[in-house]
Amino acid sequence: MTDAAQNISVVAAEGVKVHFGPVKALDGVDLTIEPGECVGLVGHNGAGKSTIVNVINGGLAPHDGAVRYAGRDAGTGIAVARANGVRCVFQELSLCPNLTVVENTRVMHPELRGFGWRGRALSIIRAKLDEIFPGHHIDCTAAVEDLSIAERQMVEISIIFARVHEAPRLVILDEPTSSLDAGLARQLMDYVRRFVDGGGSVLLISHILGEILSTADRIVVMKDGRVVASRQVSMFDVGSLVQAMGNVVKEQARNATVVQSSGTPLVDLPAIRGRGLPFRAHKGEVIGLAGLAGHGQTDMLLSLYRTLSSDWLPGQGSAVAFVAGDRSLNGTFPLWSILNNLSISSLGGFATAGFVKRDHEKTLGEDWKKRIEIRTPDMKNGILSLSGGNQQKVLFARALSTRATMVLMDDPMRGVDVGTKQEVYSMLRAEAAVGRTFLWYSTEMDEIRLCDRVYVFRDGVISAELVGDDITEGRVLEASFEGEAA
Amino acid sequence: MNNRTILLASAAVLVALMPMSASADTSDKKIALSNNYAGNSWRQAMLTSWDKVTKEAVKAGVVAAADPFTTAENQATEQAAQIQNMILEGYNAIVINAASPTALNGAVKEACDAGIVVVSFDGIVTEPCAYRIAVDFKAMGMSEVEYLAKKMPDGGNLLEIRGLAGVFVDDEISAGIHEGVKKYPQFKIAGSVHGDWAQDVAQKNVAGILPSLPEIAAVVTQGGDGYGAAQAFAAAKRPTPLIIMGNREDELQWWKQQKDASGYETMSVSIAPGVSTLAFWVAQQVLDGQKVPQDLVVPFLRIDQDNLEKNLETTQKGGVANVEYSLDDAKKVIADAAK
Amino acid sequence: MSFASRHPWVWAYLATSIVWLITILFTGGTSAGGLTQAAFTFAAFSVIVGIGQMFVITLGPGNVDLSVPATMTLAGTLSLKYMDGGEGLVLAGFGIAVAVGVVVGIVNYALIKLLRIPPIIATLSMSFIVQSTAIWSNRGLRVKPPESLASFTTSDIGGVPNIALFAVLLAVFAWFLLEKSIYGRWISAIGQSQFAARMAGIPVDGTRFVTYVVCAVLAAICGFLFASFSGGAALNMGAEYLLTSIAVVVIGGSAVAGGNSNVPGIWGASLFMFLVVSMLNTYGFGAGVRLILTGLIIISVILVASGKFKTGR
Repeated sequence: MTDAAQNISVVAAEGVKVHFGPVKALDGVDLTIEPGECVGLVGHNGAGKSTIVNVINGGLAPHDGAVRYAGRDAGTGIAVARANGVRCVFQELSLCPNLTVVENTRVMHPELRGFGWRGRALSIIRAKLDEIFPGHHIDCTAAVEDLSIAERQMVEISIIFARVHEAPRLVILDEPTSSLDAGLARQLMDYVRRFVDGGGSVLLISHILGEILSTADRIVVMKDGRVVASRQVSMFDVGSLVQAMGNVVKEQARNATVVQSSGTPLVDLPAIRGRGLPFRAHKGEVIGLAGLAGHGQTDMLLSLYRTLSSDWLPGQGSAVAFVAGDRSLNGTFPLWSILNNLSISSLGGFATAGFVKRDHEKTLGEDWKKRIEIRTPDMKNGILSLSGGNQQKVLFARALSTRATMVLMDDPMRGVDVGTKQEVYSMLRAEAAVGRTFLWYSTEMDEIRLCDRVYVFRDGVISAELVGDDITEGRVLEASFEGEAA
Repeated sequence: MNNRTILLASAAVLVALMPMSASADTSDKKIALSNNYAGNSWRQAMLTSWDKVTKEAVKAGVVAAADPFTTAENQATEQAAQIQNMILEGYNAIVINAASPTALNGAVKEACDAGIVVVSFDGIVTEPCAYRIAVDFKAMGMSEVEYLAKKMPDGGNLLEIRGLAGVFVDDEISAGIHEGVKKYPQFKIAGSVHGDWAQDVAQKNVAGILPSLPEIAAVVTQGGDGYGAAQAFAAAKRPTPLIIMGNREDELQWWKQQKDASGYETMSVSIAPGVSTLAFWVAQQVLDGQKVPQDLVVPFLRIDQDNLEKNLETTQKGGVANVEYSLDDAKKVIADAAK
Repeated sequence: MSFASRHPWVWAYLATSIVWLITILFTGGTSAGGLTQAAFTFAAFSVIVGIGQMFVITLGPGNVDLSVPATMTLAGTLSLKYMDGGEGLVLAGFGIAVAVGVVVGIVNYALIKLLRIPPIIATLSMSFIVQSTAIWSNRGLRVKPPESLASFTTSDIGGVPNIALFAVLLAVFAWFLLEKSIYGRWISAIGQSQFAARMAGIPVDGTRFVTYVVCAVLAAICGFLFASFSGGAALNMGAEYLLTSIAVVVIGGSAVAGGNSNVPGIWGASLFMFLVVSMLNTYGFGAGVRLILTGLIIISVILVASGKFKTGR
């Protein structure tokens, strides 16, 4: 890359490093976006896509390295990024639902002020919507909460592309078509091309590889916090893209043994919403639920748990136990001690006439404290005195200490250190060997490969079932990303 | 609904049979009762008396209808809306026991302007166009001390049980008692609690203050609180003082027991719930074209040592000593006021 | 952590002792015995309803039973009317009171669950129905309790009122239930996070249902005893106990947001509530000043208790 080229780059990130505690989210990333260029950004969960987007739009200051806008060292921050024409459409919709479309336009464009701003905002946003999504039928004076999800996404995209004083120079689109149907997605991609041809720049993130391949000029592939490939689009096809996202180093050998999955299944669910594949689980199986985060895995676990346990009668929950991934949402009881948090699901096992036997409970606590090394001087300390990883161990122990025949795990290993992970894995295999069934949603490929059988989720339904040696990163990625060839 | 149709039908028959009825002038008139609260025994007795007297009056063809309505929430705004409804429904007179002396004035004025006769009682309204049947609560408080002065010329310590804080009636009775104490300085109010006109509340608050009080000669009350006070004295194992009663059946019953056992003497005074029927007759008289002064005074109902048994007999078990007024009583009250 | 921060109820007892001392100072100490006995008698009724309300409040934000006063009135009215002073019917009368509580509790939770309305609205609407039933059933007539029941509720054993003994036994049982039983763990878990409780295998609906029934039954028993104690049921006899039942829970140091409750505080706070009014009456404050001071004193006790509670964590 020549100096001249770097000087006119819309944005240039050099050697950017970001870490959250011991976790390296970005490990020296170089990313340059030129004017009039659409860059596609792809990668698996946790590859660092969202982090680099946050660094570019100024929300996150890099711990090392530099970000230059228009070739100038003007520092970082949201204001700087915005002053340089960087705008971002977030994956989570960020409109205010109680305000109208026009008012939301003003929220994003504060320069719309003074007498008659409503009229000006209305004409600007209406023109932009007509331009990107011709024939859209959206009432711009309606409150956002009255619009459908797709319409909200259309409004948000149009607001971002709208020009009040200055036109945007770089628009970051993070999964922009997740709520749009094929026709609207096509309109959007066509507009992106027109915008780019007019000299603007776009950074496009999508799990639909066909979209990336047909729209981007250049594709950047990320893995484990690094850029592993950056090539012109013509040099990729769906297959090579999946391959590039996969493990660059040699895959670890699978150490799982294949379990007989025959006989009457414990769980037998028809295909979700009539699409995709049905779901089955047998006694003693470890079943992985894979795919990109937020594609229906957690929903399936929650609804399965609700069907198998009772809201009214005690004891009915003994068929199934749950290990939370989002601890503060549905895992820990913050006012309680570690011991009470651990024992809550198995109290029935050591109670007489409904009263808890304290010494039994204490023994249980000491036992598990040793088995999975909960790092605390006293199990009577509050649960919040533990680190996140140790809290997660307590939740794991809570489920394993029950007599449940089936354990549902909602990506529970986030933030747990490697040593403990290995112990938990072997404990899990041992429990499975004596007949417990595990349904394990995980975003980590290493864990998915430990499973006997894997269901890959995409857009809320099961898109593939992989067994035994078929469980490879490549196959999972292929099923997670929609592409013409897949 | 059915019962009512039958009643109306029989009323019609009666009217047909008695063409010479004395009050034919009001036989096509409709009277409504707007009541703000029904949640205690006094109010329940008031409604029962109304029902009893007006049903007979309707049957006899004196008036066409006399319907009682009670608001759910004891709110002035709600009662104002209720009165406006009554105006629309075409009642000729509205009898009111009001939630507030002033907050209903707007609605009352509307009714007067629509040519409707408004008679307020117990909870009266200050709007000048309405008729008021008031009890001289101040005189009632005064009479308690006067009785005590006669009974115990040497005086002594008094315990005052007040009503519901912030209510006009409570202030009036208490003012009368304090005026009486000023007049007879041999008495001293040693303590004062609010009993909310309820036996249980009075019992609780008297029990709380009693240990700190010196020897009490007498308890002055406002009604509905005497029995609770007696219970509190008994629980504290203190000698029972002279407790002025408030006409409740359990109070009279207790008094009777004490009287039979030890010759216990006291008196009992309160406003009779049947005052609602007096208001009814006053409304009827106004509709009849009689000249009635705007402000009328109803005597309070007093029970003494000698007529205790007689009153106890006529009082419903668990209820309140009561008097239901007749047309003649109403005429007498009107005549007295005109003097 | 100091003792006080781990046991927030000590503040209620501290406040109670101070108020008690100030009150008996008025007579130089001679009123101590009488005042204490009266306080225990009347606090007992607040304890009975307070314990039920505490279980409900433990269930977490938004959980409260506003039908307590109406339930007290209906249970007292129906049971006394049924007994009508008959000596042999005391147990049957008690049974009627309990049945009233069970029915009110069931309907309360049915409203909450089936109509998906907040407990505060459901129990308030229920209280209108219950109160109207009480009015309709006896028109406010005061029926006397059977003599044996009346003397049981008003007498004492060695200076300790029977009612207080009953409330102490009830409190001990409630303490065991809350601290030692699975049910106690469950309501505390639900109060901290209903979602987490569900995913930990707790039958959330069943537990909440039982709790609402327990609260209504305790209110009904309190109504039965209170009506017997004061010589008959009155239509407005429960009125005072709506705020009292909630106030004793809060002053007693239980978390208003749920999940963390304690029984000893209920007793401390109930004694406190009675003694504050007695103290202000004794010193002859007028109604207005008394109400303002009562409010201020309660607020300061809560502030002190919660302030210390936080710094101890």
